[in-house]
Amino acid sequence: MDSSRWERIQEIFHRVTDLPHSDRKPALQAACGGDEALLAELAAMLDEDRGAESLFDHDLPRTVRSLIDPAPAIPANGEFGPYAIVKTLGEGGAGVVFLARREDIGSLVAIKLLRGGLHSLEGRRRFAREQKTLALLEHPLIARIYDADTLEDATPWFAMEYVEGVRITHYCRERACPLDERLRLFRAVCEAVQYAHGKTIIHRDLKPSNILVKDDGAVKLLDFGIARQLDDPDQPFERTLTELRPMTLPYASPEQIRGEPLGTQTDVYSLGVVLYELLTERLPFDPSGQTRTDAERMILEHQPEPPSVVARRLSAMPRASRHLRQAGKTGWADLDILSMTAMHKDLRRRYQSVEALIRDIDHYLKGEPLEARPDSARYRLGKFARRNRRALAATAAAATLIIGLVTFFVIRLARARDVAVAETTRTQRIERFTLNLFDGGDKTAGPSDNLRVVTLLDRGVQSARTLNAEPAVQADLYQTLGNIYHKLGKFDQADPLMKSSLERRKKLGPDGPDVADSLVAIGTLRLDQGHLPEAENLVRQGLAIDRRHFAPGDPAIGRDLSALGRVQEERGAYDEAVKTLDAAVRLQSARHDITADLSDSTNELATAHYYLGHLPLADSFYKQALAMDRRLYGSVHPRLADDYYGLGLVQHDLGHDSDAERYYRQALAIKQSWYGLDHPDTALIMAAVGQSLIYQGRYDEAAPVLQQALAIQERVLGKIHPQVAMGLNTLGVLEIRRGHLDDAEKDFARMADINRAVYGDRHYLVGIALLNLGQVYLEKKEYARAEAEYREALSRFVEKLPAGHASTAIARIQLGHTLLLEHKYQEAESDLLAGYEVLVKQPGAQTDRIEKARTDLAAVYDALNQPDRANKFRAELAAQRAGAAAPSPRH
Amino acid sequence: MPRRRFKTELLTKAAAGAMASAAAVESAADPRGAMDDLFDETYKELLRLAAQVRRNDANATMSTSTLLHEAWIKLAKSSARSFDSEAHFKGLAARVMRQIVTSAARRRQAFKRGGGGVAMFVTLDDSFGVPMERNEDLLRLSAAIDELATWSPRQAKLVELRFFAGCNVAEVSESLGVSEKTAERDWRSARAWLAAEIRRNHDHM
Repeated sequence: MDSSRWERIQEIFHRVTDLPHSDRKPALQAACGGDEALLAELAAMLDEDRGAESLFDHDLPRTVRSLIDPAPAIPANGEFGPYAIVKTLGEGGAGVVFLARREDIGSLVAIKLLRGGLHSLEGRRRFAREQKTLALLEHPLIARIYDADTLEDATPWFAMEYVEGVRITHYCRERACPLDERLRLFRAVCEAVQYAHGKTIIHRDLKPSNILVKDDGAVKLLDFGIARQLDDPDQPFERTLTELRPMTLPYASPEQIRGEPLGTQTDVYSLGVVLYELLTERLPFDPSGQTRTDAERMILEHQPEPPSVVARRLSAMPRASRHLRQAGKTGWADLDILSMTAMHKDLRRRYQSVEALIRDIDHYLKGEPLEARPDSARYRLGKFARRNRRALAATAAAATLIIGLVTFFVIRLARARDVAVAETTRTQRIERFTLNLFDGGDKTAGPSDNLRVVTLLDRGVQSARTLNAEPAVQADLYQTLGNIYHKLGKFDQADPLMKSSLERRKKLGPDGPDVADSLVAIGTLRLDQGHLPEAENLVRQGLAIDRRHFAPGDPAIGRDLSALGRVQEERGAYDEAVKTLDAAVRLQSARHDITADLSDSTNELATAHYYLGHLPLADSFYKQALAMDRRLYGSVHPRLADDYYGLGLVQHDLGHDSDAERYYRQALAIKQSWYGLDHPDTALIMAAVGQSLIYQGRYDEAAPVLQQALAIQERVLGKIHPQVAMGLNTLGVLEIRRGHLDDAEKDFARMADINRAVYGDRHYLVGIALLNLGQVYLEKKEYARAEAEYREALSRFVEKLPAGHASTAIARIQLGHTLLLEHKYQEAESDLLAGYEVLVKQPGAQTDRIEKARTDLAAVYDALNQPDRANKFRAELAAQRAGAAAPSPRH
Repeated sequence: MPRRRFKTELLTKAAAGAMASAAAVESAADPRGAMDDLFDETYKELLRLAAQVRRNDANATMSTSTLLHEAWIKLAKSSARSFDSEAHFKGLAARVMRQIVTSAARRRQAFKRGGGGVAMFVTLDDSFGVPMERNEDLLRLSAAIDELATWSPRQAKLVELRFFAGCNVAEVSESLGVSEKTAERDWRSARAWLAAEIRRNHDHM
């Protein structure tokens, strides 16, 4: 060819392609004017015009991608553990498959090498756990997995039963199997899938190339659970890119294409496609010649031709398979319902389980009526839509708005659910189970009720009870569900589940790491319930078991230490907590990578330092935790909220309440969007916002916020709970400010009672309640009662807090002030002085308190006739007032 | 953990005008000779990037355009022998990608015939599985582009840019100094001819 001929070809090509299809042929003939070679060239180009788009936009780019993605290197000696490669069986599917021989026994296996490596420790662990699960699959129709491991470059491989057979679709076509035999083969496949579902294993990639029939007519399913391995184990909830997920498009369920969480019903869908293919020898949706996007849209939006229609068309053709004529008109109508129900795009209308599908196959084979109903409503709606397209277009705009709102709501819920699941899932099969329960079920009652996470969980507990799984799986399920309830703040529901899990695990091995896991989990639950001694006891038991099982540097021990540190912190043993948490942080940072456990421990360590009054240390650790969490979770995640909350606390103690408010509000926005209003965390941080408003003097804004927070706490946590006590404290402070002294008195008295019940009478937090109660009496000018309360508070602080703690100093100054008002100058002097000397050395000096102390000290020395000293404090006072900005209000 | 993703923002277009771009493509069309070093450097960088991406994110599926984009960021910053413009780079990189891809396809072909025991490429995207014949089609495509270049070098370059460098119509038209409409029409006819050519070779094999 030369360029002038090419120019001519192109000119005709463009002219003809602009024409409607029917006009092309004559135009082409005329343009070529008898040049046969030219005509042939152009005819070939026009033929390819449409297909070329798919070739260039889809098929070849896929090939290019597969080439530029570097692949794992096969070991140079061709050996995988005890297996030696004999030959390559095939490429594609999950990677590459070899035939290999086990050297010692000589038996043949298939080795499947998966793409991608498992690079993180957690990824490898999960892989190891998962293959144990897969090894549980013992079913005559499922190819056994014998072995699994990773290569040096972390590429995972499986050794599995080598099955010599042909695809089920080939088998039926080659042998022209009668209809009943096709259905019986298919039923056998369903049985095997149902068995696996009973073990909470989903196949996720069912297709004829994974369903082989051997010469003797026996079915074997391959690759169970392997598709799962291809998901990135480190990012289980960020599977947003369709092409990252292993699936085979014509067999992929709509939810799979949309990238939604998958349940057992995804396998039901794929089975439906296989059934359709067995009935018609056609794919319901044929993606060939289409771009990926078009093919996906077809599966998501279009209805396949009913098998009966395809069968009628095909049976008219010469050499049509005889099975097509083996069902009468009503028979085909039932087969339509069977396959269309299995392939239903709407999960509610699809067979709810493989078992339901099997039941209907049996009904069909016995000539009984099916349980599934024809999809007539939808059919009618579809017809209606076609007839009234224009009218619908107008209402659709309005509908979109509403759907938009619902979708937003659902997405928010999904995120709350994801964090709960992500943070508590221990194994993938459990995860699969839980995702399944969130996915399935009846959503017809509307989002306000049925989509609530807790409703879904309750349903999950029901399913777990009826699952009849083996004890270890059942125990894991209960533990997981318990953990999720715990995370969601539903302690009462979490409790019995965790206990059931512990009992089951104890039966399986009284001293195993699973038992330790349960003990620590229950301990942490007790901690959040406010039962501290029991919490500590349980966590220490768990730690002791793990210490016997694991090396000192094991992550499990790090987690246990972290939990113990939290308990110590809660019971006020801050020095011990710092030591424990320091150890946890050291252990967890030894690996040099940022983990969720490390950020947890760092946050707790910051909190312990905060309570010890080490504000710069606390600030620094909170910021470290925040940076880690940002890298781990992005910018909107409950863990970041915890860090913001801590930073707010530090700012508050430094006297920067507008900064504190800013941090608190960041935390509140996150918590509320993840957990909703009825959650202890939301309430806690809401209370903190209220507190910061009080300290900024914005009482009217503070009151409703605090009352709402307290109401949530009492509802969610019960009336006797440390957080309710804290809520009462804040509210009491507000009431003092507003002059509602009787209300304040009641609040603080209740606070003291709760803290006594939770922590014991001598606890520092009881002291705080009494300190504030003293303030109420002071305001009421009931000095004797005030003095008594202050002394009670002070004695607890001296006993429990480190020397030089601000709370002790404040108690002394308040006591001193009261003594002054009672004219007990001698006593007043020593307490005021002791408190004052501590306070002036505090970071972010509390100027208003210091000012008051100086005023009081001057008055005391006047009364004691020591004018020099009195003048000294008066001078300091003048200097303070001259140099200082307006003092900010405090307790 | 947040998935490590490629930055997807588009670079601001290089300041170079259409004339300069066209000239750059001209020189890139013959990568050997003066351009040898730059070619090698680009080649190495692209291979290194491909390997690195896979290491960082086992499930990343790369498109050539993201790969080239990364390479451009890297090379534009670091290379001693700098490119005139991004268009200049794209022209060269398209050629480099073609070479990388065809030699990988040849290796895969060889492995298929020769059996195991050597480093090899595996089909990595599992959604459909890539049949071997597509691999062969890729080699046929490369040969067909060479043929097309004998009577229409501009369209051959266009195919390279679009297909191997993942450029869109706007980028191609800028690189080649033609209107978008022309680029679109050129693409369609070239594509149809190449597809027909691939099919013809198919039938002969």
